[in-house]
Amino acid sequence: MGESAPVMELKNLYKTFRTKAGTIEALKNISISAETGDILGIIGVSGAGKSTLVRSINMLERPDSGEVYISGNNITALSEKNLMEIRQKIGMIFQHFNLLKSKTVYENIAFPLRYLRKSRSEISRKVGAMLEIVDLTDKAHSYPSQLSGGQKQRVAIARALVTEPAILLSDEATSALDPQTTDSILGLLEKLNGEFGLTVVLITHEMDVVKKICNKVAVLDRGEVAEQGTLWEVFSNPVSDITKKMLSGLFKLDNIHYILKNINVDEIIRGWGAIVHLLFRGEKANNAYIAHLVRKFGIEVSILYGNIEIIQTFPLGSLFIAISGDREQVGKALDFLRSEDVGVTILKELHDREERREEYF
Amino acid sequence: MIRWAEYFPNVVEMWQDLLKSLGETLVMVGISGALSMFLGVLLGIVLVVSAEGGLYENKGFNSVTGKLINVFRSIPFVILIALMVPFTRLVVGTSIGLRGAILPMVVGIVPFISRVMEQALCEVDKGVIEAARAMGISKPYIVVHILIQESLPGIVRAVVISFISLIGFSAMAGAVGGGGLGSFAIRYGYARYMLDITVVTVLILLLMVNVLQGLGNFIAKKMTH
Ligand SMILES: Nc1ncnc2c1ncn2[C@@H]1O[C@H](COP(=O)(O)OP(=O)(O)O)[C@@H](O)[C@H]1O
Ligand SMILES: [Mg+2]
Repeated sequence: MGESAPVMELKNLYKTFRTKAGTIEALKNISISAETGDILGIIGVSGAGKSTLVRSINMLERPDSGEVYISGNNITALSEKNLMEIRQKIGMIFQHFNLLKSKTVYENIAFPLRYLRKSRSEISRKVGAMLEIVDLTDKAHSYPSQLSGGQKQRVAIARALVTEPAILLSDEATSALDPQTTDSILGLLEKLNGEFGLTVVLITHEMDVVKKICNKVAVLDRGEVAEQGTLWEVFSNPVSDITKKMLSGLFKLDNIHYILKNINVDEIIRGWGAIVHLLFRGEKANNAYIAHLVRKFGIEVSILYGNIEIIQTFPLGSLFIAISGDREQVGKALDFLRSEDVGVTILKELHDREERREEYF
Repeated sequence: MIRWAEYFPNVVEMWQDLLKSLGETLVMVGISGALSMFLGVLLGIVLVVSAEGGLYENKGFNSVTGKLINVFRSIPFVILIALMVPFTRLVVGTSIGLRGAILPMVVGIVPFISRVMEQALCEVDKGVIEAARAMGISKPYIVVHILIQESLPGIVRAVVISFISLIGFSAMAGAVGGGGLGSFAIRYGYARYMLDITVVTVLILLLMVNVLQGLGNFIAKKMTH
């Protein structure tokens, strides 16, 4: 294989679990790849198949069919013995850290090196360097039970990287941590990615985590890839329902539902109207669309809620509006927005009092 | 000044016999203990690694081994001794005395130890083993350096419980002709109404159990971080 082969490539993976309770198709035709230096987020709700997917990257779970390529080599057909060598080149961290309780921080990090029968001096040098990178030099002789969650995860990261793997797999590594500690762990991963070109495959159920450090994302839904692409592609133009749902937290959709429950719609809606979610992408986020709509189409627009997220350095504006007026004009206004490449999602259609009265009679 | 001869006349008279019996008990428990700890730990590991989701998953083997262990566990020890007489004779040449007692003790205790060992080994987090597998570490290395090492405090506790049970077994084996403190207490304390012999024997056993338990707790605590 040439130099340009992706560091990790999954091709058409399938995995079915057969249990007494029935069969579960955990993976269905999964094809995902990561280039060197990518931080690839794989996001999905609990039970979507994320762990099964990440465990098939190092063959802890053998897929029923499909192939896994690591740096261009098909590892699907390898024997257990050869797989062990491949696994030494793929680090992995977990939600519950999985440290050895009976060993000190130093010995935990040294563990894979001792297995590989490295010399004392090499072990001491490498463990020392890793301790410095994860900023735990002063905890070298502590036991895991004496550490905080964030410190435990740092030890796990050091242990996973001490053999200098090209890829780090992270299965919900921040899910047991508080938001601040999560940020510091994500910051560490970002640093490792930036300084050493480490490729990270990051499994999570939180869009926020993906937003913070990933450059690529794949959305997993019931064992299938619902959509994938660069972070910008997926965030600025979510296509599948599941992605939109997962992004709703980012755009604070729950605020809108709260507002809708508590405002008197009659007062802001005249004629035909709708509650609409607009997504302004990139430089469009700066344009003065609202004033333009009011002027050009003679309709009314009330701004309910808005925010701007920076995705991969691009601004992504989200705006919830109540739009109302002549039904035809409203339709034209929305078409205009669509033609300007603004994302338009109608959350709720509304009719004013008179129209509703007509409906009753 | 306690007048020992007044309160414990028989003990004072037969203290040499008592010491000899104590020695016999220690030998019985020591030898059968060493043998059965080895077998029990081995069986415990076999049970854990062959269980569902284990390193060497083999459900059929696991279930057969488990059932066999349960069969042996359900036989009361006194009856096991009787059942084993022909087999014991065949293997060690006699079914009485110290030599005759050790084999039934081993057979009696191994199923118990393997279950307590199994429990101790089960305490090791599956995630830790998964992490080691993800590092590309071989299964035998995982068994020795993770499964066993991580559960050492539990293993020590299991060993202590097993030794304490063995002390009880040794008294029973003694009562049916095995020698040791049990037979001493039965021969004199029970058969000849020498109450002071029974009392002192019980006190010695109590002391042995407590020393063992204390030592075990201490070591286990030292090992727990
Ligand atoms: N070893 C297994 N045996 C049977 N079913 C399993 C096994 N592992 C996972 N599953 C099932 O496969 C589905 C996906 O699980 P998983 O990959 O753990 O999801 P996630 O990590 O996204 O929560 C779930 O329905 C789960 O119950
Ligand atoms: Mg999972």
